[in-house]
Amino acid sequence: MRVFKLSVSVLIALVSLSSFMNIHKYYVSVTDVEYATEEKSLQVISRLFVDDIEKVLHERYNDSIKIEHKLADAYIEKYFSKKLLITVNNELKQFRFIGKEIEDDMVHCYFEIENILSIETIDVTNKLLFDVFDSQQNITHLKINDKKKSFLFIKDNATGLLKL
Amino acid sequence: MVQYKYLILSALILLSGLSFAQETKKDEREPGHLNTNKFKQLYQEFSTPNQYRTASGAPGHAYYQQKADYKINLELDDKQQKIFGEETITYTNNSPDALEYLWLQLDQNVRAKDSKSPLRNGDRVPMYDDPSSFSGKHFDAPFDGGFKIEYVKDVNGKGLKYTINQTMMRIDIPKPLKAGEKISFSIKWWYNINDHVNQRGRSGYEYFKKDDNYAYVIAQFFPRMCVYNDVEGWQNYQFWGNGEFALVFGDYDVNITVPADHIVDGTGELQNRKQVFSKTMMNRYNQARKSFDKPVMIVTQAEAEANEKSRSTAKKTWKFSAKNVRDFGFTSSRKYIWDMQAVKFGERTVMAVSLYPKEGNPLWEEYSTKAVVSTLKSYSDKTFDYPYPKAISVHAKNQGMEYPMICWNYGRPNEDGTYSDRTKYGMISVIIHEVGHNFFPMIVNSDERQWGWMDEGLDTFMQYVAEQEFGEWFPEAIAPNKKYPSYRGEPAKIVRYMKGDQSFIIPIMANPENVYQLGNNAYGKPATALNILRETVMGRELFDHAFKTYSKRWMFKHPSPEDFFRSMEDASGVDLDWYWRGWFYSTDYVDIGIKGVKKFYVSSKPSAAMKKEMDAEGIKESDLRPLVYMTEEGSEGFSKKLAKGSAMDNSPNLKEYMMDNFTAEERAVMPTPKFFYEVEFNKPGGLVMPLIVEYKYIDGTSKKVTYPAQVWRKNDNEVRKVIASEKELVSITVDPDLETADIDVTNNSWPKQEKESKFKNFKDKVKG
Repeated sequence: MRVFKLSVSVLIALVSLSSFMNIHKYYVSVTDVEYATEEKSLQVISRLFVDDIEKVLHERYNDSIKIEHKLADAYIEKYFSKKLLITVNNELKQFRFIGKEIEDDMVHCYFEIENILSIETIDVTNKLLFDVFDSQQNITHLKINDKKKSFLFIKDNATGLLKL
Repeated sequence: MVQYKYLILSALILLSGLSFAQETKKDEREPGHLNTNKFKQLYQEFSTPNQYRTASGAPGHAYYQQKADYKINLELDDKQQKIFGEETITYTNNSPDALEYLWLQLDQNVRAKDSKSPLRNGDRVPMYDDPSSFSGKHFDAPFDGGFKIEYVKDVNGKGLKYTINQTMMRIDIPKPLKAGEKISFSIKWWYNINDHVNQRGRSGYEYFKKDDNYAYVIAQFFPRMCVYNDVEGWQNYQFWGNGEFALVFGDYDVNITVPADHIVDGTGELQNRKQVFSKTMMNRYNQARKSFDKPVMIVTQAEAEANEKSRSTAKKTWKFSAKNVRDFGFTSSRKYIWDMQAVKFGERTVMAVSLYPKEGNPLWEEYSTKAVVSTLKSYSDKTFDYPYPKAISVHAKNQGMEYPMICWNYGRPNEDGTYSDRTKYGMISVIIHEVGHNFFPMIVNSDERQWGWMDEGLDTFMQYVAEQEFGEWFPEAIAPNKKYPSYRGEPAKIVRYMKGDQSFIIPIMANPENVYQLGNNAYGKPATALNILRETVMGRELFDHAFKTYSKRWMFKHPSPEDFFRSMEDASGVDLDWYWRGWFYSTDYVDIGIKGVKKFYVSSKPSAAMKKEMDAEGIKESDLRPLVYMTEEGSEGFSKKLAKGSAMDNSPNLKEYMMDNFTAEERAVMPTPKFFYEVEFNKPGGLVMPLIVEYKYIDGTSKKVTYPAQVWRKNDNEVRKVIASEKELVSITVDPDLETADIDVTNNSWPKQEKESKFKNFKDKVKG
């Protein structure tokens, strides 16, 4: 887990200067990728700060996007398809956007890749928000069958591999 | 011999509550160990009580604190965004010690060109960079911040020798300042004000391009005395940026000279209101002092918008005087709209005040002063009546920062005046939080430099209580929500942090410079810990009394963590060392579950398991006195007949005893339990917590039992409980109302409930 060790100093640097911490000033997202054995599908939940995802969608696509609106979904799907790449058994997979929900200041985005019969290797590239925040960090948890692995992706190290 | 056998057997019966499985032989003798019991008192962790701080958590008979009085003349240069100041500090040494030198804080130096603060963090070369960020990092001249000290002089105008060590300045005085003595000296300085929106910081200016105006929120603007006390000596730990302030109480007279068309407000009472207010403003102010139900506008939006266009070259001096404050902050701009409302505390009238540029409306005129009033009432009720004459909320973009009687708060609507719920509740919450800081740490003056949680944690806890009350008092303001959507405080909200990667978690009892996730560490976790203490461990009555006791004891004093911990126990009679140890001194988390449930019936014969034990010891049934035997459902020797009969039907020994000792009438009203359950609870998490269990019965009834945390004192991993019941149990749930921040609830129920995954739940919901 070398990625983790390197990033400790980065994390410290990100801690806010302000006295009230509702303004998050550290840039971090959390993505869970889990294989559902019964459904034979890879299920992905990404949690991002609402203002971060809004910022990237505004800059890339359209200034008027409001994350709580249904209209934002197409943009979220488009953005994720470019930045979150999941390769199973050496084949890049397309995922389906299931939907999103907002909890406090985070948006939870749900994606699914169906018809995955077995997994020998899975590799995940997570470049979410690197195009707007230098110090963005994407924590990514993989849980495939009984195997678990966590990555902390930063701008110049955004891919992780899990062999089963 | 029979007697002896009986002894062995009773020992066996007694032990059966533990476990027979412990008979496995160990090849090697285990080494001894120290007392690692989680209920051990915190003698090692706590400092020893003394004459300054008692074992009960109160100030001791020899408690002292220093005093620093300031007379400051200040000029704000709006053209160049500079502050020029001159101050005379009178420092009183109330300590029993002679002081050879004095330490002052030069907080602005954190922005000096040679500041070490940015150097302490590692960085890396990114693969690519935004041009503006790149040029900012590598091409732009660094901001020329920091205090430019012009002189330090004694009362006779003679220079005093001083040494600056980053953000600290030592003044070497000609002879030691003895116990009880005072010393006065003067300092002159200036500095460049930072742009707090783009360069960040707890004070500075925001520039409004459209109307070419600045709004200043100014603090840490003068060299301030360090705290000298019995705990730290001189608290001269450098200001690196995260650990906030440790400050001395004193009286302030501050004259602030600004362009004549600026509106100014700050810590303390305005001394020359008639000179700086127009007649209209004066009339409105007098109305506001009698308006207890709604704010009165002192400067309206139309007037503020007209004022924005003014460019006065004349100057005005606003004079403030504050008694017994630990700091001073002020705000100044042409842009301000100003409203005030009166709040009554006993015979005193306190003014709740808001200042905001038009960019804050329509949100600010509606909610700011309302939130200030509500905060003062909520906090006063739980601590002490707000003792200062006013509390101001100033709107500054992205800010959330507190000073005595004044604070800066974010919450800016979109340019078209619309705003999301996030902005609205973020704004109300930040106002409650920052106004609340008047209580912790402005009045209950803990050392923020060393202990971020002592003010942030207590304040965030109180913020939660105050937010909930705001929701109750103004249901129309939070509709369609039924309760205020608090961001922190509810136990469930801290779970994600507490179950996170242990390499990025550090105990609450740590210096704020060295923690990961300061927001969770110093705000969220202690606030939740106190909320759980209040709602679940102690109950509101005991907690509120103890919390109030602590607040009153340390009002206008300098408490340390032990003073808080000890007061909470001393005033409530609840031993909480185990709670402080777990929640504040460790990174342990709560995880309590149900490992298994066994069902027993009373039987006339010893069970097969018991017979085995008896055989091993050579005991026959005839050796035994009349006993009541228990047989587990499904075990060898269990029959359906046992399940049908009552306890007395199944055990002639029991029946005879009951008939010999109780009358028929007495027996008729006794409960007659038939089902006997042994429930095994386990605790994969390190924190000890009360064991809250809901038992549900076949007839639809249920009962909730809270076993005290001490249930874990002799076995930190598992505990068994016997439930005797007339009705069959259908389910058992641990922590049914999610009161304890249990990080894994998949082991909380029997029979085990297959929890649908979060993903599947959401997918089903989307499908409708």
